[in-house]
Amino acid sequence: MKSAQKWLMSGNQAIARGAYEAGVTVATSYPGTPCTEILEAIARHPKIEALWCTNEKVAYEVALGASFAGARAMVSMKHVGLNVAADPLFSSVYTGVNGGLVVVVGDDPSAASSQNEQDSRHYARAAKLPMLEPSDSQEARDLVLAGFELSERFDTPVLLRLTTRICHSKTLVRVGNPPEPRTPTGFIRDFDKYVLLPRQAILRHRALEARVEALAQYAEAADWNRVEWRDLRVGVITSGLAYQYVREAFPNLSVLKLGQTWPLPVQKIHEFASQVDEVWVIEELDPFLEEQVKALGIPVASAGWIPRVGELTPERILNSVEQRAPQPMQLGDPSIPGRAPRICAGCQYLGVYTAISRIGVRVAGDIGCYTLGSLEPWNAIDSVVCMGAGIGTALGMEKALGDRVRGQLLAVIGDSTLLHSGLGPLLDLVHNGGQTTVLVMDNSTTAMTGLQGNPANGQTALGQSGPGVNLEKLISALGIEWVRVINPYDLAESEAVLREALDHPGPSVVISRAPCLLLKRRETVQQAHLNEEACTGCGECFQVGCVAIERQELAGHPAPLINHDLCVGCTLCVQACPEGALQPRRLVPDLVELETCLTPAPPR
Amino acid sequence: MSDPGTTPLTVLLAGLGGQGVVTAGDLLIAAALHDGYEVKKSEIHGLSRRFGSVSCQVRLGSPLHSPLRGHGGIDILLALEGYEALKQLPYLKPEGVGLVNEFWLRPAAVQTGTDTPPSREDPRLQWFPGTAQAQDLEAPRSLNYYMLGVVAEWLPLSQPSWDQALAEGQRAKPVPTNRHLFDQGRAAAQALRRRGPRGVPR
Repeated sequence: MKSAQKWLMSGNQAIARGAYEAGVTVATSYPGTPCTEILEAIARHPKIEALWCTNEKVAYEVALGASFAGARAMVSMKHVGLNVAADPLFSSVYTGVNGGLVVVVGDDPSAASSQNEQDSRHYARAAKLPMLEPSDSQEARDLVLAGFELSERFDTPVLLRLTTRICHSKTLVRVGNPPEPRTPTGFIRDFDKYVLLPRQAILRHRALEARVEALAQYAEAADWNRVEWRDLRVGVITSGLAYQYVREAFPNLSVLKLGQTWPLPVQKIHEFASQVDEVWVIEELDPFLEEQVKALGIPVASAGWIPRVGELTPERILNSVEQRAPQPMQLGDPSIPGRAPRICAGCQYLGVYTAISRIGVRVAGDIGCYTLGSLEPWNAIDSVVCMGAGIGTALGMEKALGDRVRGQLLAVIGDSTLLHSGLGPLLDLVHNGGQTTVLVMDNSTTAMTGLQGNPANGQTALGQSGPGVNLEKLISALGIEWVRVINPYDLAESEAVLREALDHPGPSVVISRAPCLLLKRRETVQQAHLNEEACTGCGECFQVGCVAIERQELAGHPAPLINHDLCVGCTLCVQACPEGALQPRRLVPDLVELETCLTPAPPR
Repeated sequence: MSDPGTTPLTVLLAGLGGQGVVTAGDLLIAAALHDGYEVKKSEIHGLSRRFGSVSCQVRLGSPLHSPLRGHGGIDILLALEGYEALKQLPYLKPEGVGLVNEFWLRPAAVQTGTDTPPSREDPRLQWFPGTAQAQDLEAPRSLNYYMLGVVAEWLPLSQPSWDQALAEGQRAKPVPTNRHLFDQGRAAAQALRRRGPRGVPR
């Protein structure tokens, strides 16, 4: 959408636009909220090589290689992805770059779609690279361009730190012209720069410390660090979206708005503090800036007021400052029942989790749609930590408890997550004599983040498709002899094969394979129907956990009420019913799409 | 209610995945842009596709800083489902107005037997038969246009700007029911305001 010369863009779209205008040649990522749309948008520019990589570490290294070759490169990822990429991050700050390298990281205050609420700003200080923080889409686009200049000028990767609300808010952006064509310089051999042997590492560390000092000096005059003089009784130091909240909550206060939050413009901070009666530091998540300002010997009057858990709003900041204490997160009315995310009607996971909950085992889970199996009615997952953690934690439990858990441990992991960081742990399971069973949930896509391609389905970010990796052969090649594929829509088979796998003396892998329903157009199906006279109210159908199975009272007992706008005819509830009361029937010619089938149900 | 000429006006749109909440927000923004307002929008993405809650905030006017407001900061709540409307009430200003589609989809906790019917008694809420009207036209997906027509009656945006936004919003194949339902929603809102509904501030 465009107004006169401005485009309405999300932060993610603006980052992609900035990359385009900066003449980026290679852009890489692994999908993850809140940053997924950056690479999706970049992939639409025909001249940019956009790559979904198997994980964030690989994505980082591919972008770094492009930079070594003299091209401008960008890598984007969510906050926990930067943990995966931390190894090349720290060492690439030593090597420096050739073409500019901008590393985009999206933090997720309130953990709206994440397993933690970490503050990635600490990485900038720990790894010693400059960090820029935009406060809206315009700055997101501008700071990408500035980031590439900074990267090439100071021979360093640059961290561009976003938060969910920057990524997913839309504001107007004045865009620039398409880039001049850039030809990568080619790789220029420089042993002392690119080969980090111990001696070179010390040489580069010395250069790095000098670079950080130069970057701090540069920050003093950089136009992205600016002072706005208003009422001098209070001066607020802030950055990112918190700046916009501060302007909304305290329109009359003076502000030092930092676009570069590492290394800091020390002189500028001292000068600002000297002109105001008291200094407040307002920032989202950790007291990152506050600690630095205090370390300069400047008293921070707002210390202890600002919430450290959950995202801020202008109102929450206002209340916290008024109360001189952190105020709670602002959410919807807790007395109104919420809507936890649900597994889609007819998804393969319904069948698998029904089978698992019948068997009753300890399950080490992983990250993806299948994480929802941890919820009612299955309660089928006992631990979820991070991408790829399930197999390793299951092996650890096995090694700690030995025979006490023999045949009772299951690790669950999706196809995309297995390739992201599950193959190493699987190899360890074999190498170290583990007997844990691994259940691979293969839905042929990276579903949770919006159906991105991966090496298992062979789809690339640019829309090319290949055969994809053969998971059975791959897993067999790791040394696992017991590998079986199940049809998750056959409850009896799923349960029987899983029991067999758990009893197998040695590592075993079960692949549950059915494509994600969102990949398929709706076809003619036989939906479930209830024979009311045959229903005894046993409740087995509710254990399938399908959103299309609602509850009604029949002859004094609970009975299923099938919502035929949602039922996709997977027959899992039909198989679960021990009385034969649920039967497939009636051909429905034209089922509406899953997301739009909503019919009125009056409040009870 | 805020006058966007002097203070930004904030609309919170709420509903369920698939109802067109985000699209409605985009159309509202387009109309506001045509009238020359400064705009910002904040969306909740992520897990909404799986029958979860979807909401977005649209702000227009100036000076505009934050893309969102917290509790007590919303002028108009536009909700496409009943539970979602009630859930968002803490965000509504005491003098704000809630425009709600008459439609209830019971959340999972309610669906599986622990129903507690929420109270609908809030003098700020006005109810509109959007789902019924959309179903009469066999166009359930055009419900968001009906509710846009409703909120248009409470916004200072010109009819030509709405016309332009709605026309531009059409995909390759125009959907006549969209425009029809927008007009119906607007007519319903006009009728309600003529009757002088309870407690709606102007």
